[in-house]
Amino acid sequence: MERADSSPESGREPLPEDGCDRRPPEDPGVDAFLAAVRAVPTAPLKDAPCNPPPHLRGESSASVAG
Amino acid sequence: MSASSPPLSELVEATQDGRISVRELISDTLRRIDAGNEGSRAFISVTADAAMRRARALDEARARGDAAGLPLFGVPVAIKDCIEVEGVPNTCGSGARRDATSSGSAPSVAALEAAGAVVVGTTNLHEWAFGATSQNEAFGHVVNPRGPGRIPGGSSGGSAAAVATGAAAVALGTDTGGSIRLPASYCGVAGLKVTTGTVSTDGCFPLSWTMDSIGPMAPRAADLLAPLEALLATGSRQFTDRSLPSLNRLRIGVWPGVRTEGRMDDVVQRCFLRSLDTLGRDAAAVADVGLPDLDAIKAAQFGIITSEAAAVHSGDHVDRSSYEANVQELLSLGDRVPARDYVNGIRHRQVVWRAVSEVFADFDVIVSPTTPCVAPLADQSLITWPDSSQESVLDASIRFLLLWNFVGAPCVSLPCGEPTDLPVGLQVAAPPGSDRSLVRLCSEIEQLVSPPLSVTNPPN
Repeated sequence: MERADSSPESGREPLPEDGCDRRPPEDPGVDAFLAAVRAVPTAPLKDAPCNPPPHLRGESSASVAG
Repeated sequence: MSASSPPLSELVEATQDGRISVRELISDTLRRIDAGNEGSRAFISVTADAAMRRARALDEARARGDAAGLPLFGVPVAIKDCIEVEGVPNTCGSGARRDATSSGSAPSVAALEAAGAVVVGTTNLHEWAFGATSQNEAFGHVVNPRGPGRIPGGSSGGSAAAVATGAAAVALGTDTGGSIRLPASYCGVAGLKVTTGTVSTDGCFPLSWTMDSIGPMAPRAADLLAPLEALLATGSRQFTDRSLPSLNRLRIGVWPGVRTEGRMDDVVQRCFLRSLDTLGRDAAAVADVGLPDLDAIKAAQFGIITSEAAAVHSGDHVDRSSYEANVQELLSLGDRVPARDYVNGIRHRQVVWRAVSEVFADFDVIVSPTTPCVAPLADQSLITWPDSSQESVLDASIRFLLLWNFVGAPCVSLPCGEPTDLPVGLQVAAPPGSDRSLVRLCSEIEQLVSPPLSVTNPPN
């Protein structure tokens, strides 16, 4: 039987020390959701710093293309 | 049964020159609410006494010659119940906040009142503005006045129902993932999601700080302009006021694949294509556009919204056990999103914005149906499409909506359906900062594609 994921990346509580998994089975929808969020593509840091787009930072919308 | 509703500009002219007294108008509106709210459940609180006091004060102001220059003079407005109105319960549609009362009004509400509007009540919503149906156990499920037995959409379902039944000439909603445009589409009214940040969200209970916006809903797109002008005065950021060309010089981008989309109701596709054909006769160009990976956008956006909502609804003072199950489930998802993925979601907004910005370099607007389906039945959880595939009601409802919250761009939903069928919405999105111009353009577009306007009596 496949062991339940208890890595920090899983978002789930860690297993108790005895390693016995008493947690209810995960809803597959939850796992799919977390996997989709984890799979969002990341751009190089210089192209995508952790800032909102310029117009959402209060900068002039004149700077946007078009 | 339905009746016509005068354009907002004509209504204001009539109240300003005294052909209709504000007392008479508000009194009629309150009677309409009283007669219909049991059936529609559009309102949570009705502020009858305060509204009549205010109406008397406005009539006295008019008698003194003080009505001119107030673009919403005497206009009955309804406010989504997650936005504060002084002295009125601010429940956010949750039984957990049944006893909360606002000590002041949000800047958006104050701005409408400063323009002469009269608040007639606060409107029902999906609990905490976190859902697409406006089915609400604590305050009653909002009924779609254009399709009894069907959802009005959410989360601003009460605001849409109030406008559709003539219980308010204008209503405020909030739009974090489509919550103005979706109910506008399902209920056959117009709604504007503003450029994120142009209208103050102070005094609005947050769903997602980085995505929330407050905007107006009204029977027609043309009726959105006066409330928008008032609301823009509240914005904390100054945007360049971008202009869009008139229809005959407009370059229209079409959402990729919608012309042949198999996962769409036939009536929606037919009405959208007919609208596109009509607009194409006058426009300078119409062409399909490419957009970034929408599945990745949806994942990033859900990661952000659920995380921020989970943060809002956390702490010792919060007891989620009284929340509706569907909201608890969404918040539980947010609890599990790692900070790393939340941050990467925010970073993804930059990437997506750059791609969308390039599309807006070649096209003035991007159009799509607001939703791929007409309002689903109240007990429906899955939609079966003409191509036999299935999709959840939530996923279908928000398919064309999320992108514009993700990049913060303004967009309007306006009716484009058949007069005798369930409503269909046309969504028109434009670059950030073009809100005024977009509403003016949509006023032009609705003359060509919208069915004759009627106000529907609420279901009994």
